Amino acid sequence: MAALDTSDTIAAISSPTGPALRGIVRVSGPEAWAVALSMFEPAAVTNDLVRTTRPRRLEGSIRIDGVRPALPGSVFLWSAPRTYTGQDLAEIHTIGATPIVALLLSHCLARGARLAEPGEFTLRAFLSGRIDLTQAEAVLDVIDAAGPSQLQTALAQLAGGLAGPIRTTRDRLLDLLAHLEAGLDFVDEADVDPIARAATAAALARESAELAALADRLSTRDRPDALPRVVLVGPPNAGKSSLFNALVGRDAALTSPVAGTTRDYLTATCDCDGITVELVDTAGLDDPRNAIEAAAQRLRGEQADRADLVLRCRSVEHVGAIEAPRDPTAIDVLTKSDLGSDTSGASSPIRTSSATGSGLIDLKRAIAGHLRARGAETSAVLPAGTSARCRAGLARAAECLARASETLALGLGDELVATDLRDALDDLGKVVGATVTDDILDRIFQRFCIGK
Amino acid sequence: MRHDPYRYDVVVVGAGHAGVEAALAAARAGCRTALLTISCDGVGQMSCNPAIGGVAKGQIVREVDALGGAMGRLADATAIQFRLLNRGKGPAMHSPRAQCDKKAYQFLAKLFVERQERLTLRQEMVEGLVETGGRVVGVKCRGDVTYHARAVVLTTGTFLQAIMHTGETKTAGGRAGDVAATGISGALRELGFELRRFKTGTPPRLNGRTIDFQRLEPQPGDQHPVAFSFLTDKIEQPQLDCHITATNERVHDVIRANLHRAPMYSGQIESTGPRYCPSIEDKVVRFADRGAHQIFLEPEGRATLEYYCNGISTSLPRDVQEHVIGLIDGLEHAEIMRFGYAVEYDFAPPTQLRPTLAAKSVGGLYFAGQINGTTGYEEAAAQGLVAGANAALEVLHRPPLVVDRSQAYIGVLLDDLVTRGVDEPYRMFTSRAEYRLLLRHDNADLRLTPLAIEAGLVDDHRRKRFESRRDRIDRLRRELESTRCEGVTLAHRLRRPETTWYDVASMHPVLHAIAEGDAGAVEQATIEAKYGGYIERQSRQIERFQRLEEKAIPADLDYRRVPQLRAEALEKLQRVRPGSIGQAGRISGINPSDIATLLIFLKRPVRGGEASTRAAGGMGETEPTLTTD
Repeated sequence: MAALDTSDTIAAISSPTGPALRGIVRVSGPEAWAVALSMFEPAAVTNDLVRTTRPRRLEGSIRIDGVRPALPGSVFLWSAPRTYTGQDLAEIHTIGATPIVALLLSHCLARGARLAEPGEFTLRAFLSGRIDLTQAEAVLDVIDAAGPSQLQTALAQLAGGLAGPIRTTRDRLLDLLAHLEAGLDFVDEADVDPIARAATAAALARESAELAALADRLSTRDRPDALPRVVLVGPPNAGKSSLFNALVGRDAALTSPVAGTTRDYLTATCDCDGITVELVDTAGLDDPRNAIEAAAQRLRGEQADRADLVLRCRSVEHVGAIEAPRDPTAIDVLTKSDLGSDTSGASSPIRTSSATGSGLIDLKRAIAGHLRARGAETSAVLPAGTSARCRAGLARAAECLARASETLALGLGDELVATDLRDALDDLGKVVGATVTDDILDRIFQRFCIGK
Repeated sequence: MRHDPYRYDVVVVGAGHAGVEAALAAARAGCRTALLTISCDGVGQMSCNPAIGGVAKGQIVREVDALGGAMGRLADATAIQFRLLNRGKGPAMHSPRAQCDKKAYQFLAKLFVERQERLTLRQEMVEGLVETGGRVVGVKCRGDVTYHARAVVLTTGTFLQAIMHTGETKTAGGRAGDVAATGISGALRELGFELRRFKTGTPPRLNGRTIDFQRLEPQPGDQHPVAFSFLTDKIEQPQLDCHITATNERVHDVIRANLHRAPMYSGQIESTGPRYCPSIEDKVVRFADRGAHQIFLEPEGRATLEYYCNGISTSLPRDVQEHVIGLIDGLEHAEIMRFGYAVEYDFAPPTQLRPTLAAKSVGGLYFAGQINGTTGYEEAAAQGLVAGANAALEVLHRPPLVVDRSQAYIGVLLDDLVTRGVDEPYRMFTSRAEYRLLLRHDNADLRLTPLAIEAGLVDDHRRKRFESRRDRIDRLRRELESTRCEGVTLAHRLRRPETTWYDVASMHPVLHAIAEGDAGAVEQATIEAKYGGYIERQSRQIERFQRLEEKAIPADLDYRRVPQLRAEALEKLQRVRPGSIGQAGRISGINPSDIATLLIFLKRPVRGGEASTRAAGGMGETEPTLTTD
């Protein structure tokens, strides 16, 4: 709700997704200039920062932690009220690489801007009288379209596995909060054993570590390229790597008739009926025989988790089909169709032969069809913003937990610890979507026998 | 001059904790007021436990007092034991609670009512409402009597269509020994109100002569009692002990064996009761692994031996109650004086009200207390004060008394009721208040008394007292912030956990001179300094909250005209009719894109004479006629 407060400074990527000539992050609100200039170093000494009504463009370099050297870039500044949003407005322009733009956005969020909701710039433009109703109603369509389905897609994509762990962490924090709150609200109840400060401290430390680990996973799992990811899985020697090479059109993967040749995973881009996808080849589904294989299996699992689409491969030679449940995010592929016919009689898989090239076009069409049907093609615009939101949320939640630990260490009251904890829960809630209040009483009443 | 004894500005129906505050507030505000009750002997009666305050509730009592209410003064004068709960925690959690002498409390409440200028107490059984032209203009009483009023406040407690249950026995009545109110529910339904049913319960009362106190653990009051009222200087009366015992497995076995006879389990009662005030049969079923449940034996007064068994509220049959009591430590020979029972009653879901507690669909009608689906004397008193004050302010054509979530627990209560409604009897908890670090019992007057002065709800004595305290606190604050010592302000130094008021005062003795021994003012200044960081953070959150509260939505907005509003959002917004964008956002099921849709609609260009502040009642259909010329 407070998400639409117009006195917040908001930021969003405003360049088109994917490789583009330049990447643009737009910032609007009272702190827009400060946010934009905080990572900018002008090429020449300038006193052009004095506020005037005329828009200006500053050339110089953009400094982002972890990116060397500084990037060439420019900053455009407009002052309120004669701007699109009617507020101070800034744009940071730099090279158009998606990961760079995503980092730039993260920096803006770290400096106090909030990620704009879909259509929020236009909403502000309307509220400040800069655009008319017809234009604004078009924005409403956008907001509507980007409603629940956006959240779902975003979570599925972003996280594959992250939303789950964030919810779990949030759940444990809610339990901790419920316990603290029970100690505050039900002081005379024999059934409520106040939580010991040492236990609270330990729980806070544990959840802080968990948040840090989640943030790490987020940065390794981030998908700056923003291409739909198609992952090949299947038993060893199912011909995944041959299929991979056949689809990519070159020998990127090492293939051999020996099961287990692919130990790590390989990626390459390939065009499927007009959609560029990232194709990922993984190690076979088999019991690992050693640590390296175990590691490979783990990687495979993570790749499959992050997939927009899984190609479940098995060979016609393979007797007894893998009984995997039907899955809308998977296509069953029968490889090596030149070597025999399907013996399983299971659902209609796509038959391919990497040796003869038969079925490859059908498979590519099927891949494109699946991705289009699920909107993965268009939703590829989401991850940069979504992961930035997620990262900012995790960082703020971690800060709140750190403050809670400090409050506790200072010997201050549980109600203050609870305040910090609530702030952390709000931040995590913004990532996975939930609010705090009522949950707490439910939890207390489930756990403790309260009442006289 | 003798006035017409059947014609008043404000009529209050019911003289419980809500009704008493409503009538006193309306009369204080300047309205000729009648307080109608089934029995003048039941004014301000504590139907359940003989205690006022507790966690979150104690804060509410302080707030009621800060608004000029009676509850705090009544409790201070008649309490037999004081305890400040949560003493070991920070000041925001400190919660005053007192056991009161039940009879002394209600007689003093009656005396307050009798003494109040412009207020008439009458024994009447109200059975209907008089409505004309969309306004309630009076009430009908048994015996073909009609009272005319410009506003009516309903505080009917548990009396509407009330049925009491003890085992298989069902009796009509809102409280043991009393009757039920039968006409009002029908009148409300005729006016289009939705009514639902809730249930609550009460435990058996015992004769103290037959309790073996020697074997029980005493629970004494505080050595330095903290008063409820900002007008009370010192509590001087002697205090009595409570005692603690507990149930045991044998008790639980008996209850389990007789569950089929408990109305809650036999299906005889289907309505919802409060989860935080479960009956003993509920506790035994839901928490089967607990071997014992605590029981507080609370004296009901100085001039009686009757004891209240806090912890074993029950509607089990009499013979089971007798059996169970005899199995409890110290109660082996205890005699039951009154049996426990459950009571079912009608309430009107409070989403039918505005934050002033006025009904949305009919003019001149206000609701307060259990009729709104709440429990607790304190919650009732708070609503009574707000409803009574607003009824009077409406009659006097003055701006309403509005309290929001950032100002008081009362604000949280009102907003929760009218925005979210209730699905079990509503009780206040500190965890319901998002800004609770600021909503402390110690600063209730600073938060609310100015509002009460503005609304004309406090007398000169209270106003002067308040102003002198507030000025002293301001002077202390300024002195702490402007005086530097070793490079930091005294306020900053006081923020250090190990530094006390006496440390800074001895560094800067002027502080002693300003304080003049006013411990309350010193406490206030100290808390503000010590928790400054947290207070600032919550204050920032409040600014944000208030910006959204200030974005008003016209009361007569026709949501069907808002393009692209989801069906669910339309239904909820039409039902609740939020007064602001902030309130709209708190309705469950309303999401940010609904709010965006609404914001855009409200900002749309206004055609011709169609102002956004059209008078209430003007609906969409009549609009074209407004847009000509």
